[in-house]
Amino acid sequence: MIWVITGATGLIGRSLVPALLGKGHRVVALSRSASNFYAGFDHHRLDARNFDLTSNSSMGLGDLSEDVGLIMLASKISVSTDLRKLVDHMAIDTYGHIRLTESLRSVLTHIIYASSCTVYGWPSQLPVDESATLNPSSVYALTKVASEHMITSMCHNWGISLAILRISQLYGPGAPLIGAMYNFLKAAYAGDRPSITCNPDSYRDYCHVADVVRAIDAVVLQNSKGIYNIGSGQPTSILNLAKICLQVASCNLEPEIEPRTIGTNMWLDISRARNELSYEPRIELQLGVQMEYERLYSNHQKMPVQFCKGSPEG
Amino acid sequence: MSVIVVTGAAGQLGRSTVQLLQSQGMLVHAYDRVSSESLPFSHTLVDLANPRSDFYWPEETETVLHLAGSRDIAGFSSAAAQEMLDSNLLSTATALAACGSHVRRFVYVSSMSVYAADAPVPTPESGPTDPVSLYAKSKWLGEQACHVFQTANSAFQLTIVRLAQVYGPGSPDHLAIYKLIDQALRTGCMYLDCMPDLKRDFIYLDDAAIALVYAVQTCPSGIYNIGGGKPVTMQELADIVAASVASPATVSFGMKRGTDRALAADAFRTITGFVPLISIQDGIARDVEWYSQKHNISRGKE
Repeated sequence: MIWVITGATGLIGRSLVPALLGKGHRVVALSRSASNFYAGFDHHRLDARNFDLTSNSSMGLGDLSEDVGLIMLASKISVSTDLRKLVDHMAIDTYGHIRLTESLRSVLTHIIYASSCTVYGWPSQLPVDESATLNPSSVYALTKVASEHMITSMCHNWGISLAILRISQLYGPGAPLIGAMYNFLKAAYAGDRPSITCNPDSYRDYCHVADVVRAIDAVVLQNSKGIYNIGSGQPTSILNLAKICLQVASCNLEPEIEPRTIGTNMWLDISRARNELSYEPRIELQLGVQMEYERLYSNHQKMPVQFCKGSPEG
Repeated sequence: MSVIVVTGAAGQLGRSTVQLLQSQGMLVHAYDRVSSESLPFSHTLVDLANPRSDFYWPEETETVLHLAGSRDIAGFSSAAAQEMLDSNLLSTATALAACGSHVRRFVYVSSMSVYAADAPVPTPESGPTDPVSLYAKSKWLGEQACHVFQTANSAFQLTIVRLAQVYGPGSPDHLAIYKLIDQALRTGCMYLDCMPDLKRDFIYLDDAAIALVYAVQTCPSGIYNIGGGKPVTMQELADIVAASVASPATVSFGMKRGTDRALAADAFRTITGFVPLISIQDGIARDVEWYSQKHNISRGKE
């Protein structure tokens, strides 16, 4: 068995690749910059290839002749609602993965697709479980829903087992430095008051990338099939997040609260992953935020992934 | 004067609807990705799945009736999946984005196939959705694209109509009605690979066009079913076909379990007053005529 990973230099990929290698798996790491990114990481079970999912030319993976598992991480991330951008999102996440699956069809036995909690929209009932109605409200979420549907059809028709992971808001090494957490950390580091512009009681589900890697590892190990929510298991209010950020930065200020929007809430019910994958999130937010703060702002950078060279994609 | 944009205008339902809108005195801008010399109105060529980045509907557009889309493709292939997504999802995304901030109303023509197989029959608009086929998935994803646009543009009036199976001149031969007509005319022995009690909801082309004109003219925001009024079983369908051909015809059935599909269309009828005019008996009688001419089959005994 060999595991092919798309988006292998992205937020999840750069942590997942070494984790799978460490478990003794053989890995083909694909991304537009994979060979440069993993150049300093000489491992006999790693095959890093530069690869463009949007290219119409041959996928160039015809040399794989044993059983293949495919982990689909490649995606274009945005919060846009501009539907003109749908075609670019789908070119990678949907069409790219459909073509890659077809090209590997004769050797492919498993697919793990990394989806997102955004497929649920903003449900009124929280925590939300896997049976909830999908209600995408951004181009990114719509792309995830389209990919989930098409990949499900493919796997059903071609006898490939499929696990879909709907992952909550991710943070950790390689995360784009946008959103509330990174804004708060930046402010706290600079000695400014973090600014909360929505209802301070609105809450989100922040999950550290290492926990997601552990969930994927469990799916790989058990050949699990089905749809699984992967999150932290608990909600964190924006106010509490700001306080944690201030605390890890040893900053004695209070957040500045100027609610201009009512805010939106997200909290994934992870009972199924707990029961069937034995998944348990381990990195508590306090610790995760502290690691991020030290990674970004300390002179002694503690890089959880030692070999991070080159630049991340996207 | 305000303008109605109709996409998919060269298609079966598009050409009927455009002519009907014009006969009601409305100014129609017709669009399609293919040219057609037989169209009795002029239309503009546009490929909504691969548009220019600055493509917008004309400034004076009041309503967009988005009919463009691909029909169901049997079986599964990655090419079929891409064709369905291109023509039923990406083209819808373009049609929405092209509304900019100047077009206020959008009517998306969806399908009854988006409902779950275990939804109650007849299915109301509140019934659960769980599309199975590539076609149904792509039409449902088109609906989701509409919701994304509406979420970002709160003043946008969005009407989604879920249509029953349209039949009438221009329909593909693989529909059950035409299989039955073909067999009844050629051999007198009809066969369908499904159980005789399988229920379906058919709406005749002319009725569907009238319903869409109602949807454009009077329908408020929301999701509405448009059905043929009375679902039929495959047995009833075969009996009606047998009665419509001049020669005697027998029918037999297979064992395949299908999904009953019929729409509860009361909400649309209450709001618009639309009632289908063409019974399934009348529609099939017309289609025997159309089909036998199209394929040059004698309607009597050979």
